[in-house]
Amino acid sequence: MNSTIIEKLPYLNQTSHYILGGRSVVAKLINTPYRLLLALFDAVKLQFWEQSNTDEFFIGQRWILNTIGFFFSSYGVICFITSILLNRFVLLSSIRSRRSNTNNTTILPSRLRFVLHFSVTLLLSIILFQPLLNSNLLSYPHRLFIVFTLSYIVETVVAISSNQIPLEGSDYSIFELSLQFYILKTMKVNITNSPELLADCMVAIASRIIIHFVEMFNTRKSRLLMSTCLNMTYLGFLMYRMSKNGFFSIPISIIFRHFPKLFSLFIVIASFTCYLLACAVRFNPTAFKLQNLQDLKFYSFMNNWSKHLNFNGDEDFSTIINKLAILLYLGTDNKDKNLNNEFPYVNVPLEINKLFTISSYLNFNIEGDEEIMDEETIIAEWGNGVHNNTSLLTKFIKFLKKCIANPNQLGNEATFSDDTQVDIDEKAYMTEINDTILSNDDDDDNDFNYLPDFNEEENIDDDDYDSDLDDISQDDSLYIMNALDLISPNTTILHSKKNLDWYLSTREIFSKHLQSQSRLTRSKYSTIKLNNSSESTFEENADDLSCAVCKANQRNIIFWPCKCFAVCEDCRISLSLRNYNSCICCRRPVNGYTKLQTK
Amino acid sequence: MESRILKEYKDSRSLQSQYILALDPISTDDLTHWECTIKGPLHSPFANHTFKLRIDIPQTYPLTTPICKFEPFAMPHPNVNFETGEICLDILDTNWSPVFNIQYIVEAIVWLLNEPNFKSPLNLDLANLLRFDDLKAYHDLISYHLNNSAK
Amino acid sequence: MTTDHRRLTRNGSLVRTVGTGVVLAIGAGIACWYWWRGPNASQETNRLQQKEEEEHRKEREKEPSRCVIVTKTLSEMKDFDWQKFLKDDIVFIVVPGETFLDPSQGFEIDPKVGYKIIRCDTILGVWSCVKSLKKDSLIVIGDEVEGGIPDDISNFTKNIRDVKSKEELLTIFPIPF
Repeated sequence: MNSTIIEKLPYLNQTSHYILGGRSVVAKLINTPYRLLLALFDAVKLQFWEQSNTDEFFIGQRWILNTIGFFFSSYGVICFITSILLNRFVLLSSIRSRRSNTNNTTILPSRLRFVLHFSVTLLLSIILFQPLLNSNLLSYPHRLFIVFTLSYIVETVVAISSNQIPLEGSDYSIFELSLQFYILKTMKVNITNSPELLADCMVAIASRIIIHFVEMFNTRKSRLLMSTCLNMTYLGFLMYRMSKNGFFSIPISIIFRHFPKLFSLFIVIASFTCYLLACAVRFNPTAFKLQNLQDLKFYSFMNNWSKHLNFNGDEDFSTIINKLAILLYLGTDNKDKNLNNEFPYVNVPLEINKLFTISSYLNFNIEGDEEIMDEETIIAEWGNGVHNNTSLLTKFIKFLKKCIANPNQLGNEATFSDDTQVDIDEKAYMTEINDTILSNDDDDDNDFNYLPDFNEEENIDDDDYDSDLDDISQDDSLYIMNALDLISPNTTILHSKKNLDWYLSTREIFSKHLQSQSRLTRSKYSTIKLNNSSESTFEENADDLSCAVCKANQRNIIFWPCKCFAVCEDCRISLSLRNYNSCICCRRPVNGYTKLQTK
Repeated sequence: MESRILKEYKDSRSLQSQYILALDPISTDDLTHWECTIKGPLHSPFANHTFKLRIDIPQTYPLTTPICKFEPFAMPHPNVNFETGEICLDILDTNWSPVFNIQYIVEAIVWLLNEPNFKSPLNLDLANLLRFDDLKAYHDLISYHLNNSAK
Repeated sequence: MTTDHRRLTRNGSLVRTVGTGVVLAIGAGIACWYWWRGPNASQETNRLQQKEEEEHRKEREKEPSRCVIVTKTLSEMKDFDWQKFLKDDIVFIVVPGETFLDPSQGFEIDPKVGYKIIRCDTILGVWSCVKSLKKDSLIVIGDEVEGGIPDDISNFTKNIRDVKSKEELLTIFPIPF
């Protein structure tokens, strides 16, 4: 009876195990619980194996078993040991380099590096061509995995010890591969039965070979090219298999690994095709060239896509293609928002810096949108100030007396006494200004339009005024200086900064005008300002209109509504890709931009 | 990125500032690591002391912030971590704008020495002294740390 | 046919032996390299660390750093030669309302050590200074400090010496002869 039970349940017999030898009481006291524990353990183990061989498991249970089993399988153990080793190594080296604080960490002799890489490449190629040599591939995944890990170790150790960042493959990590092989093992799938899986393994090996090859000959930059060729070949193979056997014939792990790539590739190809079509539309057969390409929204991006992608050439194919697809997708995602909302071009007839040196007037307009609306009231205020202020009146009377004493000035006198029209249509004036600037019209007659108060306050015809000014001699201009004092607003209406700016900007132009011998045109004014470099703060930066971000290109983007003019098109794209939504200069939210076109 | 840093390097050659004594890349072959020596502002507890700043410029500069640190155990300041030298400054974090350059950052840091902000402290005790409005202790404690680390 | 087959298998076995040979060689090489490199590096760092630790220990054994809160009793011991102690690793934190070696009262302090006196305007500031200094021991007359010693001070100084009497104080600061 006793013996039969022990024969049936062999795990109950643990008499061969003991901790303490001998038959003393102490030994029994220790050995008995130990044997009981062993018996329990063996019983559980037996039950487990018996259960796992039947098909009575739920899917969930099977999954848990697989997960736990993975950690104790050879794949799992190798994977974790390697990763811990490499992690320690990287950490140690980083600590040591910080300690020594210089770059004198031990660098492997280049010959040793070459030998290490070469030997691993040799191994990898043996593994790569093994499926072609003989068909006995039962232990192929295992061998492959070990060589793969070895390749990782060599690459990491060599790269770290020579102060470089190890090249990683984003498609195949040790962990992924170990998991895949483990699942293949538990599912009892033979790798040779599925050409896709076999090809997948070979691609994994080939990508490692590329890394070692690149490291051997110190041409990291060519990695992307090789990786692209390899991946394109494999994706082509996958497509072929798919069209032949249908989508579901491909193992799920491969779908997961390679379909993002395929999808990105599709996005990229679609976008490029669209762009090329758009270019083709712009083809002018008579002049036999492409016209107005820069009008295309993606023109700048397509010209500089490699720059926006920010790659060195040592990345692998899948990271780059995914990044590119995301960039292209982002372009449409943020469309018409913030930094991507484009308004029509501003055409600038002159060179940019000239425009800005001239326009004290424009400069002070760069205050905000509301200001333009406000100016109407400002002018009105000023007008009122002129009329209501008594001290101003006395000044005016003095001026009249002087003028009477000198009859040459009667013409001017008349103009000033006519000073009644306060009703100024500032808006109409603004549009006029813009027209003159934007319409590339350099006609002298229009040039006076940048002196708004001048025309309106004095209320004279251009022709009269011109002839008057031409007659004025240097001495006479003294009187006009007085007139300047006259029209200068009283301090009480300079209380707001806006008014002060307005006053200063016009006053400067006015005084320049008086100082010049003949009629002051816009171009003359700009040369005067260029000569008096101390007067303008803009002057220091006049030659530096390079983009504030990259300092390489010329600025050609204006942000709205803040009207900051600081970046170039390339940087605008980079900024929008990084989700900058406010102006880089003034931090105000941007709701659109305008490209500036200089001719 | 390269042209921008090259330009800043050129500008730094002709740099003349009261408080920035030196602003140089550690090696001219690699302009991504800079070292800067600043002088403590005149009317602050840091006057008459010089400090070394280490500036590391990431590949994505100027779209992302350079990493600035003081030497460890050298800067007792409410917004500087004494043990590591990290700096808590808004323009080095959320308020970064690509328009800023290295010189601007250094100037901002000098300004920070003069205008500590106890609302975002990295050195809690010093910030507390400011919060309790105990300026005498604040000055004395800073000068103790400065003299002690100088030894 | 058979010879071809044999040649093939022989080729296969050759490949296999060469393969295992290379694997073994590389494995041994890496192991050797690790073995040669690992202990050297770790020894070096160990030696450095040991040196640093020794220096630290020496410093610590020589004189444990002290932090003294100067309250009424201490500030009244005017004829006491405090300047002698200023040369040690010591910090005097003066509570608000007390004067201690004040230059305005005619005391001349060597500027090389003068920084070791921290004068406070608030009692909260005193404790902030103590926390910031993290000295080995804190010497304080707890009864004279407004509000007593906060509980969390023990997290910042290992050894808090709450002095009760003047005699005890004299054992800490022996009168020089």
